[in-house]
Amino acid sequence: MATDIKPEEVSAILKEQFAAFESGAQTYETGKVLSVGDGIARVYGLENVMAGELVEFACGLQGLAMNLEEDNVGVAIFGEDKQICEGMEVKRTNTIASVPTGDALLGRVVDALGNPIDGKGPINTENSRPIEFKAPGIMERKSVHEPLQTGVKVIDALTPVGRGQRELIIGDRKTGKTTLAVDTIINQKGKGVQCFYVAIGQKRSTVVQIAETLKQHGALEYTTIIAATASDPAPMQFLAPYSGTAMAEHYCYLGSPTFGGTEGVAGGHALIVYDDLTKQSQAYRQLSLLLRRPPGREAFPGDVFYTHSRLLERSVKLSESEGAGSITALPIIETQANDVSAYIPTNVISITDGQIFLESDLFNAGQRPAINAGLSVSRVGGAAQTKSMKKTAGTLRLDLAQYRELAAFSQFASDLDPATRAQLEKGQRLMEVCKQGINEPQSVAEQVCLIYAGTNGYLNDIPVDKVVSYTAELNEALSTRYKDFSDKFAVEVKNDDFSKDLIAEMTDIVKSTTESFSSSL
Amino acid sequence: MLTSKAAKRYAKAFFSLAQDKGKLDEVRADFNALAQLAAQSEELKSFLSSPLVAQDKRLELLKSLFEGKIGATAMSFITFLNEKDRTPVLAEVCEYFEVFCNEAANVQLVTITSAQELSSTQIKAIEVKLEAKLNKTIKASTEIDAALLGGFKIAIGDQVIDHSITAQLNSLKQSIVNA
Ligand SMILES: Nc1ncnc2c1ncn2[C@@H]1O[C@H](COP(=O)(O)OP(=O)(O)OP(=O)(O)O)[C@@H](O)[C@H]1O
Ligand SMILES: [Mg+2]
Repeated sequence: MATDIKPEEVSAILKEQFAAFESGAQTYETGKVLSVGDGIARVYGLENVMAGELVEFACGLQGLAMNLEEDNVGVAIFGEDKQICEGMEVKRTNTIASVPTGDALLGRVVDALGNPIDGKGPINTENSRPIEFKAPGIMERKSVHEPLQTGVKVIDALTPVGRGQRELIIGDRKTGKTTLAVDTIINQKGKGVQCFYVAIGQKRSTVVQIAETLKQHGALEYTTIIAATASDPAPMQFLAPYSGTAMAEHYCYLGSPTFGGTEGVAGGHALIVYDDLTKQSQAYRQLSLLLRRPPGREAFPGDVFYTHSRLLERSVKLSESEGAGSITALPIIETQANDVSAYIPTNVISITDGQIFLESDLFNAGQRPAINAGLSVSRVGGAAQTKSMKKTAGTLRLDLAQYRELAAFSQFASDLDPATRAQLEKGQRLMEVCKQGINEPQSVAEQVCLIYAGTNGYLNDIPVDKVVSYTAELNEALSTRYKDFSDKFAVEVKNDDFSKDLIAEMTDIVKSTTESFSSSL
Repeated sequence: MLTSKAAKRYAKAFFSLAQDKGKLDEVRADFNALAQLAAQSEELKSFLSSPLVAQDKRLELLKSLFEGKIGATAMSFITFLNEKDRTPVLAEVCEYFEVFCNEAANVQLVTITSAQELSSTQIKAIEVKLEAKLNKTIKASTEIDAALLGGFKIAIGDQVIDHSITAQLNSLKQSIVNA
């Protein structure tokens, strides 16, 4: 215990602190609150305040200067506006809002300003970054080329995601959007990717649940959760994605001389999930309307496109000379009744490198993850897909498309010719192959073997409703009996190889698994 | 606090007109008296800003109140404001007028807040320092605020120079908390 600490020592240390403390006159600029309400304060004075600067109210609350007008400044308040009254003094801080960054944040839950809210004590880090940061230019970038395995079969096969890509997850409420993102985070274990989950406008209970899930799968240790929940003030919900991105940039720019990193150091990789940007734009709409900015379509302000484009442009794959770091973004958008042509969805679709479209009809029919393979695309991920997956999944998209067409048609036809029937049967099995449970990301070997079995007809003799248990058996076999093969596969994936020997071995494994499974039925 | 844009415009116009007429000092004195009166009398304020009083009625009353007591130029300005239905901002116009006068004369108003009353030599010393620093004639007003504990605080417009004990204690606290 601390019995050997003497009171004199405490005094001595404090005395030292006081001696070192030097305080001359402080000069600062002030203003006075003219009016306050709905989380917005109008401040008179603050003549030289910058847009985006933090200001401090006399009661200790902070705010963000958003509107600089001729005779007053519109300030968004980070907290309860009840504590602020007319005539209260407001001070400039001369700093743009910034958040702490670095390893100390991993495994933590913080608010939009980087303050810990998980009760695990203060965050000890010396690093910080401004929450708004200009995206890198063209010269510093490189096109996406390394895969970022999501661990979700359908995505890795049909809409692959590469490091530095921005892939939108879009769908109605309760269609498994969050689940896809969380599974992707879980799958980054041991892959050297730092993850950031930005929860905007969600219930606190949901955030707790996600933290629990991540912890259970050992994923919290490389993840930071930035939470601006439904009860937090609108400015916090608006800022949270920018704060999260600033934290991710810490890793990405480690090796970038242009952006404050050290030359010769390898840049880190980060994955950031914005869950969801619909709520963020709603928070921004609220702020803008209260600041009396003119409303446009759907009452969103004119610059709502820019709020998202400048955010998503910060996702980047840096060139070799800049350390080759990356930030991959998975923004989430919630649609109403599958309407992707509403204002915010079309905006974000146009900024991102592709979208994963989830449908409630599929979800309710038990096809989970409820990805609509026809409408989902990845515009750049193809270059980042592993060779094995590219070879195997080549025909999957076509097969699924044909199946969808036939399935619609066959509802009217009473009897079908054998060729059509065969194609339908295969399609049904492929749809089963696409199914995957929650929080069980799969390795490339598992995904490729299963899709190989499906597209090459090894599942034709297995009843449709048994395909899911076949999947389980195959995965089991791959991690026990054929462990050597899985390891070899992983090595080839790393070298971006897919040798003939490996294919032959895979065919044998699939064949024998199918045989043993069929006989056990 | 001066917030009305209209008041600023009128004050500016009156200021340059008074300057042209060479009546600046006279109007300034009248307007200062008016501003003081408005600050003291709630009744005058509500009368000036009430939309229920008709324009000609208001003119009559204004005349009976001020005619003869203030200069003809100031009176004509007030009549003009009445005609434009801008009497609610009359007090602010007067205050802005003073601001423009000070600006033209290169005078800077400062407020010195201290925990205890400062002696005139102390105030003079501060004024001299500020004059050298800002290159302006300083007109200081003083306030007492015991919460400062000691030292003083100078407000120059929005700019504050804080040399109070409270501020230093606060920053000491910050440096310990954040250490
Ligand atoms: N692949 C899956 N298999 C089975 N259940 C799933 C799957 N994906 C999601 N679910 C279940 O569906 C429910 C909704 O999922 P999730 O919360 O991910 O949806 P969401 O679209 O993020 O919802 P919200 O609109 O509330 O954000 C959850 O209870 C989840 O367990
Ligand atoms: Mg969700």
